Amino acid sequence: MSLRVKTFVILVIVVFSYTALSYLVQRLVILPSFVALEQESARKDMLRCVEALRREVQAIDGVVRDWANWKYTYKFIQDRHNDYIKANLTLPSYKKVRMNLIYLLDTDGRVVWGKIWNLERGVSIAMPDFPSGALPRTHALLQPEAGETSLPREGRSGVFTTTLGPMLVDSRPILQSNNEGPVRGTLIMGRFVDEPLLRELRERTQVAFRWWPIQGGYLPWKERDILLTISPEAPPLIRERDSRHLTVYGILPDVQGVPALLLRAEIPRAITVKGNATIWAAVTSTLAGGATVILVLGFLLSRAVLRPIKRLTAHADHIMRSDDLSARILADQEDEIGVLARTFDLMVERLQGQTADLREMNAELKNQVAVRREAETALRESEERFRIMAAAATDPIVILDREGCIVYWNPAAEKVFGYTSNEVMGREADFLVPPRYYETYRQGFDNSKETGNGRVTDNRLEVKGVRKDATEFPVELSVSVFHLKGLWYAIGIARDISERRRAEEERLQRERLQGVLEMAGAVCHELNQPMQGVLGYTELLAADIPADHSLQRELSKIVNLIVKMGETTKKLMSITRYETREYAEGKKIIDIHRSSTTSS
Amino acid sequence: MDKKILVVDDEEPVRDLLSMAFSREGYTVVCAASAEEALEILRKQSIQVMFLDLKLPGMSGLDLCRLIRHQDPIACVFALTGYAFSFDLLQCRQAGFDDCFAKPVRLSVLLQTAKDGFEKLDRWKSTNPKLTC
Repeated sequence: MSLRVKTFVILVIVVFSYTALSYLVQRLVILPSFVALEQESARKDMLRCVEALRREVQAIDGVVRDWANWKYTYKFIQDRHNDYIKANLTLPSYKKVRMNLIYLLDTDGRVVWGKIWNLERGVSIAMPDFPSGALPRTHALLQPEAGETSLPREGRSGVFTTTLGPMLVDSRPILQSNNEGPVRGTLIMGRFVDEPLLRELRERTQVAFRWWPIQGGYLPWKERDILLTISPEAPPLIRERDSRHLTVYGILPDVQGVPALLLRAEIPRAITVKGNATIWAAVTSTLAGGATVILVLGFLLSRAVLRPIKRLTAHADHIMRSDDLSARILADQEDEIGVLARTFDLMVERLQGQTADLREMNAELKNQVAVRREAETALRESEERFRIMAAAATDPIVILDREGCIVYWNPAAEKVFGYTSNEVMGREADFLVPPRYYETYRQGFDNSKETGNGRVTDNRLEVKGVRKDATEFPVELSVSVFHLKGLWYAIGIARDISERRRAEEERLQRERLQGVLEMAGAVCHELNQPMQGVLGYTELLAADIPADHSLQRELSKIVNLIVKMGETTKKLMSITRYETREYAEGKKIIDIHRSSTTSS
Repeated sequence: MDKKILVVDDEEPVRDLLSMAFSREGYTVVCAASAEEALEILRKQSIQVMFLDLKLPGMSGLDLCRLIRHQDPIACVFALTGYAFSFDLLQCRQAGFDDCFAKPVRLSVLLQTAKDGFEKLDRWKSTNPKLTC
């Protein structure tokens, strides 16, 4: 990920985090206070509704108070004069005070005047709650207060649920104008809580509320459970209907303090909606601000930081790829990046110099390595050659160190002397010469050691060697001295010349024999011919004389001698070896009998 | 028909001795001093018993024997040498000699050899009529 992308991502994360935090704060801290405010307002609305109804009741009470403490009313209870009726209790009078019900009762509860009108239609209505004869003593509006024994001195007011619907009623004892008794009876006025009244109250309170009588089964099912949680004394109950509306419930008691009316108002959640809108506006503006910050900061960072860094990076990358150490970035900025770029340039410059030095050194080293390798190869080859040569040599090769100890012993030495390499390594080499020559060997070796040279060095001489089985054999020894790493060594090549000696001996024998044979051949040839003549003629002679002639014996002897001579010459011809025998006074002659194959 | 014997030897005393010895026994003896002379004689007359000296001037006795054996497979050719060292028996037999005698040899041996040779030739000729001399 490039620095630019990273920066962008970080900025975006910061902006979003800030926005989210701000949103959460508004949502969790500010909005609840809005909601509380909204609920408070809703409660107040509901209280205003309830209060409006109460005031209505108070207004009725004002009228009732005027009439009940009026001397004509007081008088009318007594005389029941028709003028009072004509002046005050006609339909227009009802309409004037906007009452549906006016009842005048005497102290016994008997109805002196009692009529109920539907003011809109202008028709009289009868209700079982208000009979035309007399109101029972138990009637709610006549119920004395605690401690009272007769009619109540004070009036009663509130909601009264009739069979035709709820009604705002007020009752007062009828007194004289100066508010003095005795009480002549009771005045009751009532106004139905109908649609026109509600409309009026809605306008007055600016709250769109509805109502239901609690008694009488008017209440919708879904509102009934509200009754379990609401009471006239408790503050209005609030339920959230949806995101845009609150439902607030209020309750109004009847004249006896029993819940009589359930009020319900739908309050638009203007505050919450506004609050939400405000939050979203804040979020949006924060985001917009953040985006602006990102753009501006990105632009500035890009100009001031990212672009120079990118340039520096591209430059470094170019150097890495192309190995072009001569490239320079030549930054003119005064900030840290500029310093970094210039330092980089300086570093590359130094690197360039060092690289050149290194290259030079490397080339030199390579050259040295090649030379050394060549030398090593040559040395190895030389060693290998020596090893092969020494191993292939048929003559024993022995190398001795300064102390006369064996440090090299080739396979031919093993074969000729009978010792393996392991047996002789490090041993002093005197055991290779016969004991009688020990002194000579030591002296010769010591001389050689002192001078690095000696009688035996670079000369060949014939000496005696001793094999492992103690047999002696002739050795042609050549010794050379060499120095290796400052140390003195003697290399000896000890050729076993037993075979050569034997061959020489044989050659000598053969040459002698050849001479003898040639001589013998010549003698044979030269002798055999005349012997043949002598033998033949002797035989002819013997044949010519009688068999019993005295010469026959001599002739026979001659024949035998010649035959013997012939046998001798035949032996001469079959000589194969050179064998001699003592003849006289130290002289030797060839022993013909032993030298010929027939006699051997 | 005469029983002819050819004696080839470069030494005159030997030729004379053998000539005398075989003549006494009734053989006709023809002598030659060299191989070439012997071949000349053999071209002119038929002789089937021969005593050759191995050492001859010019062609050696061995070569002479080879030539004779080539022309006459049944002839009885005997070697007589005073220099037996350089020619052994095997060489002689390979060259075609029937027998080989080293000098000095007794005349009685040679006479017996000649006699055996002629008997052998007679026997061969009597059983093989094709063999004519």
